[in-house]
Amino acid sequence: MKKFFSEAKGHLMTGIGYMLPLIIGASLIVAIPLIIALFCGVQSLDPYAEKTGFFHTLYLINQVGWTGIGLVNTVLAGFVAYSIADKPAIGAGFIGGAIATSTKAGFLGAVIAAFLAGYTVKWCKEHIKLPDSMQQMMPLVILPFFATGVVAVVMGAILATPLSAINTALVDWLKAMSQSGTSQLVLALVLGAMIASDMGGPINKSAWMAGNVLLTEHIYQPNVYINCAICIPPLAYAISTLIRKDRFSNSFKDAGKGNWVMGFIGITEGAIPFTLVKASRLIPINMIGGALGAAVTCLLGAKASIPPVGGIYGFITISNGWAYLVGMLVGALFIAIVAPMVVDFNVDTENEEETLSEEDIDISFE
Amino acid sequence: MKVVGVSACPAGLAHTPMAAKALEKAGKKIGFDVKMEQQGSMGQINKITKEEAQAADFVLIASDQKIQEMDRFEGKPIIRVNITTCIKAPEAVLKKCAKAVKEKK
Repeated sequence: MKKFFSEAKGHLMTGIGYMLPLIIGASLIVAIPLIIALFCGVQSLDPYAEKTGFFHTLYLINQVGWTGIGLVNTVLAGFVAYSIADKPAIGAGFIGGAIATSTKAGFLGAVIAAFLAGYTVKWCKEHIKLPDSMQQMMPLVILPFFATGVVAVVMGAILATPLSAINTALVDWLKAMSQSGTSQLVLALVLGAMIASDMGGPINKSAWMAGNVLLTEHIYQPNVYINCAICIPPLAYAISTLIRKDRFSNSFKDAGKGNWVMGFIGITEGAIPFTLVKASRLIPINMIGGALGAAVTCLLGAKASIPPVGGIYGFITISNGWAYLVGMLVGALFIAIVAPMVVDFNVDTENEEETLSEEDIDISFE
Repeated sequence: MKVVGVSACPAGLAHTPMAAKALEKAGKKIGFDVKMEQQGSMGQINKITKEEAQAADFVLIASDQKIQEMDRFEGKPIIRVNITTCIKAPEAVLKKCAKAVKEKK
């Protein structure tokens, strides 16, 4: 069972890996026309849907971005299914994801559909034995037929209503949460800590994923906290190498320069080499920094009325953008000051003893 | 010991090259000939050919994700290891895999 879950996580991560470029491209195409409109003093593009002229053009471009965001479930489900059972499963996965969107079963529905499609193909491959002369029919006819059939029956007929009820309830709950003050703060703290915890690992990606799922439901606020927290760890170590030069070896000072860029465009992974020096102490510090930064951003009242863009420059997509920047700086300064106090980064990681022994390492044959 | 392998992570930005470099460096240190292919956001970097794959003693997959073109490794012992483990302790990973492959034979 444990093996199944770790495999399932791998498939989900593969799907997310394929979805990343889609969602980043699409959300930028949604945001840029809106930003241009905002600079021209236009608050919303919706009134220009039926008109002509410059703002109508912006509206049309913006709608293309939304089409991309509408594909999120489809692409996710398709590539999760592909990860499980290769080519024959991908079509059924796409269909399942699209059905999840149209029946409002959402992200949850897409994931279930993807696993149904993938594992149906896998099961058929193992259990259906055809005479050799008919083998060619397996990948082209039999496998796609069964996979799509199972998706159609389960997702289209049986689970459509209950899943859509669960998803709608979940979305309403989160909507309410992003409107009330106290739960908003909790949300910021939790998301901020998650983002800064494993920097690009599964916890970070689940928080990021949650933000993007909500984006497709037109809930933007959580993404403000996520984007803010993403910039914090790399920025923090970049600042730290400047203010506490004596605590960093030369190779870390170099890595610090790269982290200015990582922080600017919003890539948490930049902080990994620093954190690995003493993960047991630095991960909690990173998490506090991320949570603190997101919370300050929340308390100062940063609000998103359009889909927020990540990175430092993302503040232009947020009303009270300064709150976003102040929060980010507070979180980053916390880590930048505390981290070199508890850990000495002068160690030469090149020759350092490895912390894991051979017995601690899990390997598995395929 | 001749080792080929592939590293991959969801974003393909940081973990992927870090793991590949860590393993190659550790290989040099303990006298293994290690070549790692990176399947990250830039596509396949430092690609492993079928000939190289077939000449290797084992294949190390530093990822829990889908790896492209697995067919070139057919018939070789294939070992999967978590990517963060490979960054943290590349030497121990290589040694343990080598041992496990020998035992299997």
